[in-house]
Amino acid sequence: MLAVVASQLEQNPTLEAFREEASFITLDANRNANSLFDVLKGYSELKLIAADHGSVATVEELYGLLGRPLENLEKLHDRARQYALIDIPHRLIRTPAELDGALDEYGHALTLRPRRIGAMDRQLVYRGGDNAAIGLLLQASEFVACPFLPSPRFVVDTVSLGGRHVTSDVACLRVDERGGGLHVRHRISLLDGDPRAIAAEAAARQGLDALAFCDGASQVELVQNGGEWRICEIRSAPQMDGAGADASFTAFGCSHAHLYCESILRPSEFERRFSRPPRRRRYHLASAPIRRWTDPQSEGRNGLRLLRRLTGYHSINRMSLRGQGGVEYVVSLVHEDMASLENSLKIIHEMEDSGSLFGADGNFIAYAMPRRGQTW
Amino acid sequence: MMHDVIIVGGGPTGVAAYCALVRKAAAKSVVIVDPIPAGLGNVFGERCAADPMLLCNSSNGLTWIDANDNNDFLDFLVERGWPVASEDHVPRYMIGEYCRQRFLEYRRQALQNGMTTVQLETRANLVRREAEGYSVELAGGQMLRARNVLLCTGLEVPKIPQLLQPFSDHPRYFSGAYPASALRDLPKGAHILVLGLRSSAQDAMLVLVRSGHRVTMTSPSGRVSSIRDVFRYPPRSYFDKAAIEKLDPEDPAFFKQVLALVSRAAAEAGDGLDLPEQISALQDGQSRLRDDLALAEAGKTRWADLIFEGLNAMNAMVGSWDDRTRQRIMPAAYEFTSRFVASLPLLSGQRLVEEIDKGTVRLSAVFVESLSANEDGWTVVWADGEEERFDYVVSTSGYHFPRFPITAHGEIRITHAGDLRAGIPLAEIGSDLRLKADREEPECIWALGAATNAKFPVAHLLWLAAQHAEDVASQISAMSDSANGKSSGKAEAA
Repeated sequence: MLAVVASQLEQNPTLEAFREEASFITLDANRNANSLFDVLKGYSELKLIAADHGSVATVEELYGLLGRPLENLEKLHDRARQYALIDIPHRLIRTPAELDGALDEYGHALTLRPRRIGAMDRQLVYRGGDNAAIGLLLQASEFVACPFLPSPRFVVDTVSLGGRHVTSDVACLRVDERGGGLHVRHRISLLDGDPRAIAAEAAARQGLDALAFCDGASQVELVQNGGEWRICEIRSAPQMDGAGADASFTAFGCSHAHLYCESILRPSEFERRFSRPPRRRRYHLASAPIRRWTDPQSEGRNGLRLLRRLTGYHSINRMSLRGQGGVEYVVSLVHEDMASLENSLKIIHEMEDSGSLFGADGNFIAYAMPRRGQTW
Repeated sequence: MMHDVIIVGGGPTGVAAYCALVRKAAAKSVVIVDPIPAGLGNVFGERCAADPMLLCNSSNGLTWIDANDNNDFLDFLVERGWPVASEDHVPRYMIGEYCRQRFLEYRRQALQNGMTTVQLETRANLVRREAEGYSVELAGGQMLRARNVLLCTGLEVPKIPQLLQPFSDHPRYFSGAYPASALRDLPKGAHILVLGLRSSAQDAMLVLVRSGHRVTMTSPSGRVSSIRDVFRYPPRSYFDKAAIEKLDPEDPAFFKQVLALVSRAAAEAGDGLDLPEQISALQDGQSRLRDDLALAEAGKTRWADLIFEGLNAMNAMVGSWDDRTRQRIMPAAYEFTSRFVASLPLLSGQRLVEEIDKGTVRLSAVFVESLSANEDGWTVVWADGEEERFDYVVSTSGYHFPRFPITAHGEIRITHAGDLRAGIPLAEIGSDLRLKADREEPECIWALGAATNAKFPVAHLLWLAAQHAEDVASQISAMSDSANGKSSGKAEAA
């Protein structure tokens, strides 16, 4: 039996791809792992799959409860740290004293995260002294501390077969520090031939090889620091999987989520697809998670009207609530002109930060109809 | 390499010039020099316009960068599915999007026509005359060469009032309302003094009030600009053009004559409603604001239909005056221009009154006598002797217009500095917008848009920039034809 764990059971593209194929059960990753375990206890032949990045931690926990070793979902980032030479230095932290020791060793600021897979959106920045966020982290039994690198971050989406890797997208991430946490504000893909894309891709392949990552879809997150490329994390499941615009469509004719499912369910078709060279892309894709940071003053979501008419607007998809900020939507943009996309992203961030997306005061509707006695 | 044209500044004016050059096929190679991607600019790009709460002060029907198509911006909006009309005001960032989009379209067309376009993301410091053409010195010291140079530098450096110059680096002082995020992220519940009452001050007020701050606004005059119901392309011409042409600034009755012309035009635009019935006569700032708002809500501010025509007439008239006449007349006209030309859209006026009624905004009738700052905030002494504490001060005194001083070597420097030494010679802008440096013959260097402020009093208008672009591109095209012997061929054919 295949059990697919997803952090959102509706409109999850990965889950949809699974549904095309196999007999399986779906489990809601937002539920308590013990209650999910009760459901699974009756099955003897069981394989657990994470349908998205947000459900990886739940799958890991379920394997622990089942008393079985991880199969597809090994602790990839730990293995990467063990084998890859391009890794960021890190320390396992269990006590406040160890935290201070790490701060002394790594410098003025640390990035902290729970020591488990799927904690990407629970990263915090620690600069010493009292930090309310530490309390949240200490709820986890262990966490990992790395030097805080405020450099631009990149992600490389890859598909691998028999140890060969093909890149479907290289994107630059904007990561902001807010309320002590690190939050991905947007990703914007680089065009084929961009020197940064070439360098990031080479570093990602190096990481995947060091990890002996052979088959399936993966996502490698890197930072560029002082001319060197360092791997933050290697993921075995797509992230921001709800985004409507997916570079894999151009490269391979289907989504990155679909590739992931196909590699598990239909390896022969996956191999055929893999044997064809990916198509080149001549436009940029961007996606931005948008969150409700401020309390809305009304329930209307008129700001979304503005989003839909921004240059390059492609789609908006609802996402599951996870992590600190509680991602609610992902906006996707596609355009050939990077400057236009960056401008649109800046406007999206302004709308999000000022609370004007979700019906807080200052939404567009009030400003677009100054004509007397007219409404629309 | 010798280029045909270098455009210094890639904001709306620079893009308008570029598009006009492409339309007229007036150049084979164009270089745009601007650190910001062409089209987005400083005023309509992410710095000043990313927050959608900040609206254009001009309506859609008065916004275009193609002088041949007054509906260009409206078409752009409608193509994107905005159900808007020419009288609507949309978020300011949309003009940045519009200019960028038009730039990309024209660049594609230029490529098809064999014209090369390059943007260098840097600044230009000065223009030097060479044996052939000109060289433009860039911020990094590199030189670019071209036969023609278009100076399309817009607004960039905010003015700092005399009162605040000793505090220009104070962490609790903001010289301008932008970027909005700087004001938005101040600690909640702050008490903030905004110096200024015009459109930038309204922007600052909106952002601050939305973020939960209390705002006190003031200006030396203590008066808010008037409020207009609509600001549109006039349905027809109202001014007596022949009478305008006869106006003589040396005539002692000059102002009376102007007022009579405006009154007649306003009565015509108001369909019998005379000018005094269209404007408030109250003297107290707040009472006048409410009175103006009531008139605008009743649709009685028909003087607004004179703004477009009036601005064009004023620029044309003042543009022909010498410096002495301009310096004598224009300060006296300031009260008139600041009240009506810089009038607020109805929605901004409604919002301001709403916030005053809620107690989040206060208009101070007296101005600041002096102020002092420490690390916790500001102590302001008002002109009536009262003292008040503020957490932050925001000044919205507008921006320095670009200036083009001539160096000792006859080069033309490009600067936005407001502190040019008195007596330093400035390049003169001719009626054809060509600059004159240290010789009688005009250079093949043109000033466009806001860069013509030394000549035109209200130069930061998109429609004016579009007209400048069209005129300058025609001149370059004619010069290019002439150099290639096309004009003689055309003349012979004729």
